[in-house]
Amino acid sequence: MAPARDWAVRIATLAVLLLIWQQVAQRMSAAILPTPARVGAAAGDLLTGGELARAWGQTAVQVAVAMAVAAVAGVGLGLLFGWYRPLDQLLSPLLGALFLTPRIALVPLIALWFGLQDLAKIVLILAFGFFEVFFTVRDGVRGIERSYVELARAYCVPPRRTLRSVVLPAARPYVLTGLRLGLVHALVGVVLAGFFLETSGIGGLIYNLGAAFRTAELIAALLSVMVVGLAVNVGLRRLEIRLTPWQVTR
Amino acid sequence: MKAASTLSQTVKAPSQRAWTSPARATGIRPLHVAGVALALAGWQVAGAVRPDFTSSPTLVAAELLRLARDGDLLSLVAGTVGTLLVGWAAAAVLGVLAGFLIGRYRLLAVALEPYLVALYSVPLIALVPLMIIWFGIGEGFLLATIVLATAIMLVFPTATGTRESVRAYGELARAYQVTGRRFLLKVVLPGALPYIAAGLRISVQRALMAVVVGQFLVGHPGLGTLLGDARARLDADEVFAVALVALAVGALLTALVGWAGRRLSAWRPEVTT
Amino acid sequence: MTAIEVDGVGKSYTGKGKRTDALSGVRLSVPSGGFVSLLGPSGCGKTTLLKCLDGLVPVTEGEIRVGGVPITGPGRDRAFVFQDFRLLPWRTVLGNVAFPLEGVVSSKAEREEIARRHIEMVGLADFERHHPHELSGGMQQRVGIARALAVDPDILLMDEPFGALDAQTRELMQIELLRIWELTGKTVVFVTHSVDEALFLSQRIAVFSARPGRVAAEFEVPFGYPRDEHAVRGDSRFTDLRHDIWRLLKGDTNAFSE
Repeated sequence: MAPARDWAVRIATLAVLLLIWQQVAQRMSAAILPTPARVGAAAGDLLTGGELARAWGQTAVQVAVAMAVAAVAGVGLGLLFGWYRPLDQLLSPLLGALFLTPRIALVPLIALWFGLQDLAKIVLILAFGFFEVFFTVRDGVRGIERSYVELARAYCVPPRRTLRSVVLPAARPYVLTGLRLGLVHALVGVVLAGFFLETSGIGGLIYNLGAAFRTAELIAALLSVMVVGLAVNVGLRRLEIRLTPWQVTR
Repeated sequence: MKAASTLSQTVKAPSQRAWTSPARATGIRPLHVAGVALALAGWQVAGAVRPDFTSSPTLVAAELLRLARDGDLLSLVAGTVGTLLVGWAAAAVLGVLAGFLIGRYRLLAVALEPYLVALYSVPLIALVPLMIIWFGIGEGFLLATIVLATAIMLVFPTATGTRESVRAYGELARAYQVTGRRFLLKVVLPGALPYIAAGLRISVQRALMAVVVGQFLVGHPGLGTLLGDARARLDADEVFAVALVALAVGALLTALVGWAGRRLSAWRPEVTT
Repeated sequence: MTAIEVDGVGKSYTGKGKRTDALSGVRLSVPSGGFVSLLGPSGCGKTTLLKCLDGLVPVTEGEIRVGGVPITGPGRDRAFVFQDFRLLPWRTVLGNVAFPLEGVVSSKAEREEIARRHIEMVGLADFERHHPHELSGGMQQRVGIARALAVDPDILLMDEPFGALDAQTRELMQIELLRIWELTGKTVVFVTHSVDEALFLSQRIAVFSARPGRVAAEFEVPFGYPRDEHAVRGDSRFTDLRHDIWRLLKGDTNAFSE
């Protein structure tokens, strides 16, 4: 089937979904389910009123800081733990335990240590983003170890050079994947930070709109989260494919 | 097909393989034990200096006992896990059904895949305020939240499993005239089971988060309210005790799902979608 | 002149409290400039021996001497060709072939010069800017061979280099390998489980028996070079040798599957 026809089908699906939404919404209170047109108008208001931009602005700064830390720490520690097995064995039960803890359970701890303001929110976002980066890189480096390192040994490449010209480049796709997954996860942290810490940023906006039963604006704000999430995931995935064309799977 | 395959590759992965490794690390090494022992010792020392800030293993143990005795800890946890299991089962049924249909009928896959990918990419937990508006703050709200957050995670693995199963055994089945319901139940479903098991494995953590966030937000009694109390009081012992309880529940559920998944699909290696 | 002497080599692994003997009492000598195949069923330890020859795997018994000197690890006098090609996927053909020269030849231009010469030798001159994933399996292994030749070793250690290729490509590569071998005069130790491949390529075949791996018998192959494929395969001595080796291998398998 031609891609053009695929997209025609997809657009038709969207039209049908919107039509169903319209029909259902007309029979309901706008506080429960506003019509697509109302949501569209609300989105316009949020945009022109600057509320959406302000919320995303606050969030973007927090995400940028958290992901910068997650990237440096996650990639660095991932390489280190993937490379030095004993270190991994020493600390992996603790990291595994942290990973198994629903990250939401860290909210009181973060509140205790960091309060409810920006720093606390950054830490919570970090808690969501870091592990994806770390585990992806660590597992990736572990997977590399055998075959390429044996190659380097067979050709008498000294360890330092092996690390620089074999392990690091081989880890690159995992780093990219890890960062993408980390960022996708960080968005969950963003939302929960707005719900359970200070109600600012996009999460806070959603919380406040929900609490005020401003349903049309709420749905508009949710749609903005959806757009950002999709852009992050699909966009970064495309970038990954371009940067590491040899990486066929994952 | 190119576009579709890129799209489905996009959804491969968020948060999955990683927790199989610690949970399945069956061989316990001396260094593992040493690491845990060191951490506990370090925590105890830190607690001696700033108990209001880091608590300590002994203080947390005492707090856990207190919560169990006065705080109804066990029934709160049991209630949470019960809600989780009901909602998660409903999500599984829905997700598997949708995944199967999408795997079996290409038109549905073409029509819906981009929207499902969109749902997969976004933090669905953001929808909780909308769920409150729609479902109120009772048990129904919690179940709806779990279904919303987790069903999507079963759709893609099931669709992949169905496709793989039809591709691998479809010709065989036709050659031996296995058709209709028998084909579905005896060939497609068992073939897709490892994938479904993988979907369950990756969704359990999300289900737990969904129920906890839901309870946290509306004050429905359970693990979430324990977190709410801990956040409100900011008592270090309680904060750590509750986090440990959440860890235990998370680990237990993960172990359970891993075990069940391996039982269900013992005939082939675990797949990680 | 003897290039390699394998003197009573044994290799055992201990894992899960159990000792497994991969090799035991292996004796073998490879003449300088010779082409010797190690032939045997899967799991007979022939690849392990090859890795021992390279120094990738330490022996637990006996000694391996290269040019009369006992080896302690991988060396620049030997180059290994892997069954799975093992090219670095992020590097071009040129980058892959130049890889082992880094840190040895300091000028980049000179490294690329050497790499280019060997890429040309394996017939890939037009592909030096390609990445491995853009090449067929046969071409990838040509890169693997060029990489091995680029370090100018005395000895090529080849671990089922054509095992992952289809039958036609495989035959082409065999002819190609003989051409390169005659051109360069390297000593080749070639691991394979294909009787025909061993017979067509080598001067001598060491047949392995399994568990623990040891040399069960050695056969001299009485054909000169350059070898004409059809003439060799049609020769009655080829068929006889083939028959003898098969009987030996089959007897061995039967002995283990009783």
